[in-house]
Amino acid sequence: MEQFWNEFPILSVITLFLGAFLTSLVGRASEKAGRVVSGIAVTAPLAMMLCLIRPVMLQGQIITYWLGGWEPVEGWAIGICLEVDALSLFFALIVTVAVFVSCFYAFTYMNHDDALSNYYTLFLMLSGSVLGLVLSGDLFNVFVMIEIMTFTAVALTAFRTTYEGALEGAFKYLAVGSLGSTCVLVGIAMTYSQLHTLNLAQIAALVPAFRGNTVLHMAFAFLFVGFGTKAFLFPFHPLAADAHAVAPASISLMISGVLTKCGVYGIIRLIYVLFQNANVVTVSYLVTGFGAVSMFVCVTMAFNQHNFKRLLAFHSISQVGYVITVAGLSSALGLGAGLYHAMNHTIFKGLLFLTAGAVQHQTGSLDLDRLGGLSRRMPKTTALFLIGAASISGLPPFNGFASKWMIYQATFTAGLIHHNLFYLAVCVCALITSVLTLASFIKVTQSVFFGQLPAEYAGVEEVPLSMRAPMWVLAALCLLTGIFPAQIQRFLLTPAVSAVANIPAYVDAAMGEGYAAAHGVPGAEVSALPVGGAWSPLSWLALLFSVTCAVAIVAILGSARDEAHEYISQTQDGAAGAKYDSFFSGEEAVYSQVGGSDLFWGFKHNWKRYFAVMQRWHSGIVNDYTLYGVAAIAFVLLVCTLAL
Amino acid sequence: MMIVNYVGCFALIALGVYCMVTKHDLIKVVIGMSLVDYGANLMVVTVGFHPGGTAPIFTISELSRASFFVDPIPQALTLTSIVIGACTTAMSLSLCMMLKRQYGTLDTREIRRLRG
Amino acid sequence: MKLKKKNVIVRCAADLFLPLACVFGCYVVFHGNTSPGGGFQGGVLIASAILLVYLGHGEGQVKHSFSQRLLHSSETIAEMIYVVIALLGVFTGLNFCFNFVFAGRELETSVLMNDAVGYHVMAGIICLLMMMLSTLDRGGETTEEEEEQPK
Repeated sequence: MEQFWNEFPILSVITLFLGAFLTSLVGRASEKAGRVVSGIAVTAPLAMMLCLIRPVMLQGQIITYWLGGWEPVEGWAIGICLEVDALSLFFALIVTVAVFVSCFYAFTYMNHDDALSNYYTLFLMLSGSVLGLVLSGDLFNVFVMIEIMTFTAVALTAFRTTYEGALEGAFKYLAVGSLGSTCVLVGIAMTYSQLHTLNLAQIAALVPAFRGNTVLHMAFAFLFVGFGTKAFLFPFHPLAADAHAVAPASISLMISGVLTKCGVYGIIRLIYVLFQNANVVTVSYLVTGFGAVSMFVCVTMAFNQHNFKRLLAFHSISQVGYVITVAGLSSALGLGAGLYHAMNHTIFKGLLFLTAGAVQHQTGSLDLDRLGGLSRRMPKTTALFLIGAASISGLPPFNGFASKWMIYQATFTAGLIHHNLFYLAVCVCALITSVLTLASFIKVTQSVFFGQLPAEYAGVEEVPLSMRAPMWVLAALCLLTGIFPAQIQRFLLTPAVSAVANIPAYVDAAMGEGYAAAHGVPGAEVSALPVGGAWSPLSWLALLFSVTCAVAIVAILGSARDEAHEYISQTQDGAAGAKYDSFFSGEEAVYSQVGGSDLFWGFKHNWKRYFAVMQRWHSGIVNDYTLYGVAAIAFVLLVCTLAL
Repeated sequence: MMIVNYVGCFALIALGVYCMVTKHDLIKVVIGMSLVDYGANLMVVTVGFHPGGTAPIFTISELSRASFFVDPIPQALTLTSIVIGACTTAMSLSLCMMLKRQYGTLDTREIRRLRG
Repeated sequence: MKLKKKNVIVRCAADLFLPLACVFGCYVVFHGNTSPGGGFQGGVLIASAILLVYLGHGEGQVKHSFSQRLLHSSETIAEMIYVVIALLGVFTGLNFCFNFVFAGRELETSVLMNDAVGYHVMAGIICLLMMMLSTLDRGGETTEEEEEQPK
C-alpha cells in the first residue's frame, strides 16, 4: 500500500512554500535566480499532481497522509492529515495549472515593477496555501490556509501601491474577507463543540448521528457563508470587482481562477461530504438561489463598467455563480456540470485576464472608453481574446459551450424530475445570463479591439512571445476541453463526482476500514455521467454555415466602407451628440467610434431603474459591503436554524 | 458559568460588527475587525474548556487515563488564530497608513474611487 | 516623541533589563515543548529587546546594532530550517514531520522545529519593529512587506 506517490501531496505543498522562502533569500541578490526558483517551484507540483491522476482518478485510490505518523487512535483522529480523493485532486489540478501559467506570464508582465522578489515570495505562498487548502483533510488547516491565502492575496492586490485604487481595493478585500474568515472560525468552533474532532473524514462519519442538532446547523450556516466569501458569492461580489480591477493581471488570474475555486471546493465539500445535506430542499434552494442571484446580478453589473478588468471581474463572479447554482442541485449531473464549468472558468477567465494584462502592459490603460482598434496593432492578442470571449459566452467548439450545455441540462432535468418551477426558473436565468455575457463581450471586443484606433495608441506593439505563450497554453486548453467533453468526463469528472458520492470510502481511507459502516454513513455509487449534446455533427454543420454567412455579409458590407479614416482625434466629448447618429444616419458616422458603454444603450435605458438601484448599492463604501455580508450571514443563519 | 463566556463572545462579535458597519473612520473599522476576531477566539477557547480541568501540559510518561485536563486542541487553534488576528490588524493598519497618504483622509465615505 | 538626551536612569534600566529579556525569551523558546509558550512567544520576548535598545539609546543605536538585511535573511533561513527538519522525515522513509531523531524518547524533532520557529519569529519581529521605528519620526515610509505567517 505504501506507494511513492503517497508523499506527493505534502511534497507539492512544501515545494511551493520552500520556493517562497528560497525566492525571498536569493531573489534579493539576483532577480534571475528568483525567477528560476519560482519557475521550478511551480512546475514540480504540477508534475506531481499529473502523476497522481492515474492512481487517484483512474484507480480510485484515496491517498491519506498523516503528518508525523500520528494516525487515528481508538477511532479518534488527533493528527493532522492530508487526504486526496478525486475531488481534491480535481481542484488541485486546476490550481496547479493556473499557478503555472500565471507564474510564467508574470516573468515578463511584471518587468515594469520593482521589489519582484517580494512578488514571487507572496505569489508562491498564495499558491502553496491554496494547494494546501484543497489537499487538506483537516478543518483547521483549511482555516489556516484560507487566512494565508487572504493575506497574500491582499498584499498582492496592493502590490502596485501607486496604482489608482489598489490600496482601497485591498483594504475592502481584507476587511470583509476577515469577516468571512471569522465566520469559518466560528463554524469550526461550533462543529468542534458538538463533534470534538476537526478531521474532515471523521466529521463526515459523525454527522449522521447528529441530525437535527441546531448548533451544527448554525455551524453549517457559518461555514457556508465563510466559504461563500472566499468564492465572492452574491453579497460579497463587489470585493472581487475591486480587487480584480486593481491587482496585476497575473494575480487577477489567481483570484478569479484559484481563490474562488477554493470557495467552491469548500462549499461542495461542505454540503456533500461533511454535512451531507445537499439533498435537503432548503439547502438546495439556498445554494442554488445564491448562485443564481450572483450569476444574474454580476452579469448585469458588467454592463455598467468602463474598466476592462473590472468588467471581467463581474463576469468571473457570474460564472462562479453558475458553478454554485448547479452544485446546489444535488444531482450527479449537476455536480459534474459544476466541476466542469469550474475547470473551464479557470481556463477561459484566466485567458481573458491575461489578454487584459497584455493590453494594459502595452498601452498602460484599461479604460474601455479610451481604448479601441487594437486588433490592428495586436492581432495575436486579439485572436486570443476572441477565443476566451467565445468560450465564456458559450460558443462551440470551445469549452464554455460544453459545460454550459451540461448546466442547462442539469437545471432543466432537476426542474422536470422534482416538478419544480424554481429550478426551471434557474435554468431560464442561466440562459439569459449566457446571452447577456455574450452581449457584454461583444461590447468589450468592440471597444478594445475593433472600432477606430486612437492616435495615442498608434505605436502600440504586440506583446512579446514570453507573454503570449502562457496565453496560448490556456487557449489550447479552451479548445481541447471543449472538443473532448467525453474524455474529460471519463478521466476527470466522473471520478470526482463518484468521490463526492462515495462518502464511506472517504471516511474509511482516513479512519480505518469499517469506520463508516459502524457510524451509518450513507453512500452511493455513481455511474458514468450522461454526455450532453455537446457533440452533434449536424448542428455543427448548421452552425458553421450560419457563421460563414454572417462573416460573409459583414465582409461584403464592410469592404464598402472607407478605410482612410483609421485614426480619430481625441475629441470624444465633442462627438457625444453624434453617437446616436451612427445608429441612424448622419455624415459623421465614419468618424464616430461606438464607445464601449454605449453599445447597449437601449437595453440600459429600459433597465435604468434597476441600474440606478444597483449603482447605489455598489457604493464603494466598506461599511456598506460589511453590512451586506452581515445581512447574508443573518439570512443564512435564519434559514438554516429555522428550516433545517 | 460558561454561559457568561458565550454571551461575552457573541457580544464582542456583535460590537465588532456594529463598529465595522456604522463607523466611517478606517481605524475604527480596523478596531471592529479586531473585536470580531477576539470574539471568535474567546468562543474557541470556551468550547474546549472543561470546568476543573488542569492545564494540558504533560510528557508522554505522565499521561494516563485518569488525567483530567482542558481540551488542548482549541487552545492551539486559538493561539494560531490570535497570531493571524495580529497579522490582520498589522496589515490593515499599514494599508490605512498608505491610504491616508494617498487619499489624504481616513473617511470611508471618501475612499470610494472603485464603485458602481 | 524623541527625547533630547537619553536620561541616565532610562539608559541604565534598559541595559539592566536587556540581558534579562533575552535570557527569559530563550528560556521560553527552549522549554516550548514541555511548558506553556514556545517558539512564537519566546521569539517575541527576545525581539522586545530591540525596544529596550531603542528606549535606552535611541534610533541610531538600533540601526547600528541590528542589520536589517541579515535579519531578513535569517528569517528566511529559519523558515527553511523548519521545513528541512520536517522534510528529513520524508527522506528517511517516514512521514513528513516524523520524529526520527529521538525516536522512542521523550524528546522530539518538534523541539528543533520549535527553536527554528523561535529564531524565525525573533528575526521577523525585529525586522517589523525596525521598520515601524524608522517610520516614527518621518511620518511614515514603509514598503509593502509580507506579513508573518503563523507556525
